[in-house]
Amino acid sequence: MGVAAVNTGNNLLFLIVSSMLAFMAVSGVLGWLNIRGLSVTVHTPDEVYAGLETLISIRIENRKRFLPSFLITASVSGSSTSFILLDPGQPETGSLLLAFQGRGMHELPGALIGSHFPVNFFIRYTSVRVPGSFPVFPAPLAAVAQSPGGTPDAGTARSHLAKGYDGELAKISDYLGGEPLKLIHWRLSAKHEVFKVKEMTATATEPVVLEVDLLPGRDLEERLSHGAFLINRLLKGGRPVGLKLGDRIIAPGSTRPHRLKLLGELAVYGKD
Amino acid sequence: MVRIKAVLSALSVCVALLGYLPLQPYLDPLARWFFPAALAFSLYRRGRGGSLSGRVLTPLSIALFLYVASGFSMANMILVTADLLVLFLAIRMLGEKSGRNYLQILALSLFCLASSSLFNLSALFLLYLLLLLLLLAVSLVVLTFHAHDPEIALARGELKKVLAVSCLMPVASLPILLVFFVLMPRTPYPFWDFLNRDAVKEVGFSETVSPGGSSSVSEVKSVAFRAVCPKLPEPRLYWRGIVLNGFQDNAWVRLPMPPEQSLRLGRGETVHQEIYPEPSRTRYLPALNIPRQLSGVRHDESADAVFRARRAPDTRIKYQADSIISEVMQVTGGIERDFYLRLPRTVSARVRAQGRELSRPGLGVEEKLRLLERFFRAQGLSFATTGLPIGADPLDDFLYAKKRGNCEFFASSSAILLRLAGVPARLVGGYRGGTYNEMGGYYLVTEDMAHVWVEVYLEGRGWLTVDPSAWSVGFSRRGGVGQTLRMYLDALGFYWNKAVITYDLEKQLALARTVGAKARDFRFPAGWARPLVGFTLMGLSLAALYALFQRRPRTREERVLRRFLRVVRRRYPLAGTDRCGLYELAERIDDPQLREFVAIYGQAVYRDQRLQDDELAKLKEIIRVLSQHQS
Repeated sequence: MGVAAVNTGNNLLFLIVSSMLAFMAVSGVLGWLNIRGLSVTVHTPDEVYAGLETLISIRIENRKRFLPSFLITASVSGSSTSFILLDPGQPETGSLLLAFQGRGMHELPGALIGSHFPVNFFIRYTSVRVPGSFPVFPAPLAAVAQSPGGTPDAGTARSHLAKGYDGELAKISDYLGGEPLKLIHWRLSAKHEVFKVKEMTATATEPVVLEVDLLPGRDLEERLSHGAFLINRLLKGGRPVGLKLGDRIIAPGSTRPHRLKLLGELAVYGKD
Repeated sequence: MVRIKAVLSALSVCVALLGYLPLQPYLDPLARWFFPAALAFSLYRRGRGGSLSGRVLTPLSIALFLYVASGFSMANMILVTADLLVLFLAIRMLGEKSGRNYLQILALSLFCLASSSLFNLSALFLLYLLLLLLLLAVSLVVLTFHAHDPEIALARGELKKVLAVSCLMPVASLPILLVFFVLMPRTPYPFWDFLNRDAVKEVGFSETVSPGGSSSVSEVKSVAFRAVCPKLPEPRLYWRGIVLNGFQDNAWVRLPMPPEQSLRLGRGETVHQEIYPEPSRTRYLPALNIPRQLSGVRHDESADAVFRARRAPDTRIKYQADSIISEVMQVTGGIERDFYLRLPRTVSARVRAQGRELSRPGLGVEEKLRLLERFFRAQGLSFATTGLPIGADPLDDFLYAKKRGNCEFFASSSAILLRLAGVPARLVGGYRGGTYNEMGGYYLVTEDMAHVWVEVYLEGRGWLTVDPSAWSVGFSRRGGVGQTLRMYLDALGFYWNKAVITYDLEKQLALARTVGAKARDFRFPAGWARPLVGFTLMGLSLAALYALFQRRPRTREERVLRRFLRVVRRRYPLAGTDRCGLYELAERIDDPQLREFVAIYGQAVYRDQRLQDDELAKLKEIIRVLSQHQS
């Protein structure tokens, strides 16, 4: 059309061509403004395990004073989410499904903000830094043989019921010596030649301290993965767990923050 | 919630209408009726949730294309192209609508509007263009949402925001449009000329005069030209176009004139005019009687003050003319009398007798003129444009039977009578009158003002202007044309032509030269304004200096901190440097360089000490490193 305008000298064609050029310029500027002034924060859940897909919430705020942002796509590490409209000063939240490779402290590589707006001929991109770092725990690896008791949640662990003093009656067995006298089943013992003792399950289980170096596994990573599994499993069973990392010992505890602390230790173990 | 699909669909109908309407008057009946029918059909089908499939539409479009293209020739290529554009647009409206199809509708509509500019150059185009620009912008934005997800629906509030921002685009692009329009490259001559032919109608102004051709003359109100000049008394408004000096059979035509030299330096005021003729096929360039010189367009000039352009002004042009308002055009060296005494092939006996009556010996030219006027008035001839005499001898019929005729009858019969009486006479064709537009300061001359009068040669004086139509009963220019609204509209059209349509390479260069010259020759105005401007400038510069000084950091500590923060902001744009203290910043951004800076700076400044030279150098080094790492 530009050629036609120059050729004919028809000023109305010049007007059309000028208006199209002007429109292109303005849409370029608008597209640039659209993806500007956006801040991205990412909220990771407390527990992120290496190699496991985790839902992460991403929060975008439009910091421009007047102009809303339209059709924003935010992608982090290949996973993306879209926002139709971001009003100034009104943050919006979306979620991303991400998997992180390898344990340790991770930082997000930065979010790629893209938009087709205002005209669907080009996509404009800008990258925005995502502040903050978070630990990625070792991927839990089931360690059946070493699961020593508690109230297990899977069938295999039933035979390793911990003996206790104040739980349910689990079974009757022979007296081996050393059992507290209060556990002797006097009535049954009278009918047998040997003393019979009641074996009770435990409600308050005995604390356990996991020593990373002694955990099963071919290498450190596998041992840590088993460790992570055990920490979760044992604490779920209500058994206080501690950790021995080289010379350092973390006293057993059974709270959730304690569990996260242990997993965090495993995440960074050997990475310093 | 509003579905984007529905919005887009409504917008596409509006856009298509904006493409079709400006072209509609010029289309062939097929295209003219096919489009509204297709639009109505598509709206009806949409109501029932369906559209025609490609299996129907593709053969239909091929058939229509073949039918329309079969009428293609170099002469009507623009018309055929316009027909095809409208037909394709109509077919697109009928079919299914994906994002790509919507884009095609937008593009076809724009092309339709563009092609309308080859038929019509009116200011209405601007209205269409602005509307289309607005709707195109909104449609493209909405189309982007559609591409994101065709089934997307927006809340009303959201939709309002989307529409508001998309309307912002055409508004913001208007000033840029003007800049592009002024700056876009132009050529003085087209590469391919055939595109520029536009359908110009024959005009009221004619290059031959043969009264009796038809029984009525249509009153064409179309604009002939506009002339920017001061307002003049009504009787002086004779716009000279052509001089008809001889006959071809019974028709007055312009023959090559014998050599003579006319002087137009007669008494009378000189009036400068800037004339904007509408495109036409006639090459004669009208100007106030008697034009002395003409510029602005390449032309040939003849001794009888007739100016003829070398090329037919079929595009919009303008030219300047200087005229001397006078009734007499002097001629030095006399004229070839025989040439101006020739007669048409047939002159009736009654007319010959009347001519002999006038040619009685002893009568001067002025007396003959008076006798002629008396004869005309005695005949009770009335001025009319309908019921005109036709037939074998219309002039005889006019003078003695019907006694009604237009200016052609009056001028033609009086000139022939004068020639019979031995007085050299010729016809002058042009326009008489004009509506003065007070807003624009110009005369609007329409085709219905086309006029013919007579020039009579007076020995020793020259050619005298005589208007025999004035001897008629009821001759007057019809007034009442000056309705304010009409004048406003015409002024708008005039400025549109002046500013937009006639803008060309020459004006572009002139504009650049003027701007350059103005910039070079800038002088302070003289008198009291001069010191005023001086003081203002001085005050402004002082204010600017003060503001700069105020903003400038006082100490070197402040300066180095400001530089540091600037670099940090650039490197960590989201760190929020202005919302936290230095230590907090260092903690938040885990960067050893940053921490070191904060440590050194904090050590000194927060204990009310000045920075040592070596500390300062170290800080600057850190800033340098930080800024280098940016890439």
